Amino acid sequence: MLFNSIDFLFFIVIVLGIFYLLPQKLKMCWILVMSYVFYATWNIKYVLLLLSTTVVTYVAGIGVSKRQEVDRSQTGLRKIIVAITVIIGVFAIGFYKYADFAVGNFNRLLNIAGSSKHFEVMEIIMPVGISFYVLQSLGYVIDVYRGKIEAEKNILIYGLFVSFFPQISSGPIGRAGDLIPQFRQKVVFDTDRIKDGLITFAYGLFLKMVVADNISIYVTRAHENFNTVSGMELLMAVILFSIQIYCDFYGYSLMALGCGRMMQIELMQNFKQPYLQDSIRGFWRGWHISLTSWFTDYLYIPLGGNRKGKVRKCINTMIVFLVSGLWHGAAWHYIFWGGINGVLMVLEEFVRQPIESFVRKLKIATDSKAWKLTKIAFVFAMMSFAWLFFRADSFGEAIYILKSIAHDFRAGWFLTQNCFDSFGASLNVVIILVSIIVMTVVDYLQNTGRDVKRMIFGQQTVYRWLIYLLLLYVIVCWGAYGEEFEQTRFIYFEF
Amino acid sequence: MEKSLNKQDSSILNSKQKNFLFKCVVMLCIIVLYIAHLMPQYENTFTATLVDKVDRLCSIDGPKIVLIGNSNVAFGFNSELIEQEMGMPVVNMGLYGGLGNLFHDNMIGYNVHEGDIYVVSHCTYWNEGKIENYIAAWATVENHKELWKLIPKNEYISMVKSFPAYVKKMSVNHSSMKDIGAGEGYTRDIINEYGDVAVQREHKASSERRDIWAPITSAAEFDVLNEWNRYLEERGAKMVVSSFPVYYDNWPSDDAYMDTYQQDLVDGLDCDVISYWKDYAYPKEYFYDTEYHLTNEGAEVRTKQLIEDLKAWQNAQK
Repeated sequence: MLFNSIDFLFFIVIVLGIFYLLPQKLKMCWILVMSYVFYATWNIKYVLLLLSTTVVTYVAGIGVSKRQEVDRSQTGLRKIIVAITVIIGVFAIGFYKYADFAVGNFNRLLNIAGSSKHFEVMEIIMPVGISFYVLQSLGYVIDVYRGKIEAEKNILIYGLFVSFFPQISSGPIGRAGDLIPQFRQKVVFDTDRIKDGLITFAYGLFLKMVVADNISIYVTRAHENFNTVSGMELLMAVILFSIQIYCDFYGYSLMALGCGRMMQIELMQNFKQPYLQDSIRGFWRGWHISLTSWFTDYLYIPLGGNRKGKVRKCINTMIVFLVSGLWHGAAWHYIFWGGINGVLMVLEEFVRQPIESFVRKLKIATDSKAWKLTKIAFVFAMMSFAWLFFRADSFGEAIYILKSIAHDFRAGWFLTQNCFDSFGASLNVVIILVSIIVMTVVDYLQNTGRDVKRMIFGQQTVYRWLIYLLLLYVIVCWGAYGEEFEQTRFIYFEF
Repeated sequence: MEKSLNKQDSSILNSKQKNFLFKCVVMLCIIVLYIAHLMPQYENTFTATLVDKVDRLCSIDGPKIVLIGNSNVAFGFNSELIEQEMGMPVVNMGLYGGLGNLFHDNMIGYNVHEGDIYVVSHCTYWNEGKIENYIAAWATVENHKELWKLIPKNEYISMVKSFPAYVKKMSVNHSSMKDIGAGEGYTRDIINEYGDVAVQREHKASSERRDIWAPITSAAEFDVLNEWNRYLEERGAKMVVSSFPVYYDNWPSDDAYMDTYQQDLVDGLDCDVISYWKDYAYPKEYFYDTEYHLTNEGAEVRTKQLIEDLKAWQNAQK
């Protein structure tokens, strides 16, 4: 069940309606049951996997915690419990996500070695959200082990932490310390939070259905015909994909956030205007924050972080980004994408100071808006370059596209009729252009510390309602859905 | 004391909460009013001919011949000629294949009289009630409540799900007719009082497609028609099945396949199959703009064949 489907609309109305009618004691049980129902709509067989992940990490949490209470000297045993849990979790992700990838690569190696032996791929259907809820529950066990939080005794509350439906399919990867206490708090029918949740959800829907899905028509067509369309159309597709993936995933995250808020649960912010940052580091501080911070806390810091010198820091950064690439998908182009980002981060680390001193010598006003804009554009270009490897179906396709762009590059093309014609109907250009402008303005306002929601809520009733109705109208009328457009899953559902 | 106060707090909405719920209701009302203001949007298109067809069907008080099927029926008969030859009023209910067979079959239920003859001519008997084009279905029924009962029950959920797409079409793209099965010139006024498409129709190259599908049959589809047959028989009416026009020049299957298909119809249906498919196999010149729409000349030939088949069937009944 996708957030941008009618099914979900009915689902959330029923869930919320009953949620607020039920007595406090039953509210979270209801959400737990509905979370499992939500998950079962994807594939009922994998409910067992979700359940077993919950039970294994719940027991591990208790085990780690009890040891802590009884005998603090037995850290070895606690370490073993954590290690076994992590291995089970990684194995679960590995089996469902990477088994076929591994078999395929092994076959390729055998082929290179001249062997005629060939192993059949298993064609495993990956359970939705496995990469998210396994990481979330492993984070919980590690946090209990580290003594950051107490182990949760109530399996229903813990089960809800793992399976909470707004976040189960694509995050944000929550932290037990933030979420579990919220599941215990008294829920009141707080209309301000519900309103906030509704508008957050609606804006997420706008980003997904109006911006991302309309752009995806262009991008998909360009990638499907990458060897026949012009280099400039491919360049446009590369630029647009950067916006598409942002609006797709940010849109999903906002919908998750909105749903949670309507139930008085505050999920982690997953994005912070990444494309308005003027450094690669800044971009990653604002992109998929819950995953980046998870990798920082549970991989980068245990590897030594930045505490063991610059070289070690760079190596750790590379490891984190390569793992992140692999986490995104079982294909080499994802790993390569992770690698590019790692290299960009490392390069930035090394060249930042020389560039700053060079800029000072040139007497460029570094605090000017033009300079900041230049840096933002540069970061966007770098990220778009990296996203190309993420979006392409193969490494070869990405290289072909790059060559095609280099061969056909004409900056003036963007102002020609051909550019407009490549979008098909003129309405498509208007929709994409206007929606990107709206998204950019909202991001800009947020980035400069202004709360757009508060600005809307502060308007007079008439203007406020006009905004609500306009948003609704734009989603219904400009959204890409219906018979001529196959409903797309969120890109991050694949991970 | 505190417990009872808490209980009171949770059971009674404060003014802010009431205000919020009231605003939600107002918002819903605005949305409903907006949609109501848009509907009906397709009153002048081909699919709206159904309103006129149903009007005629319901207005005939007495035995009649009702032609049921998709656009092969609308574009395939001269009902006036049938009326003259058979001595019974005729209604052509043929509409659009994208609505599915069951949608068309449900038209049988409007106004059944003793002595009615329902002639069913589907192009295939397999789709098991599925509506293929939901926007077209919405554009057809719109807010004409009398047409809503044509929607197959198993399609209610899909219809609800496709409603936003219909609203979107009404709001933004209402003048584009192709995706509702109504191309250029497909307007409400192209039918005559019987429900036949009555405009001048010459052969067009667009009918010469190569990707035509041979008909197939399914037990579920037969069950539906047999159920309708029982319904009609209980009311003293009859159902017969006649062939669709076969584009013989481009036909994808051989004669043996079609003979088997014909035999499947005879074996699977409780009603009489009154025509032999090959009598309805025509050269390409008889086809108008698609592989199932006949030119005026083609419709004339088909009508005469149907009259012949109906008379033969009536004689056999005696």
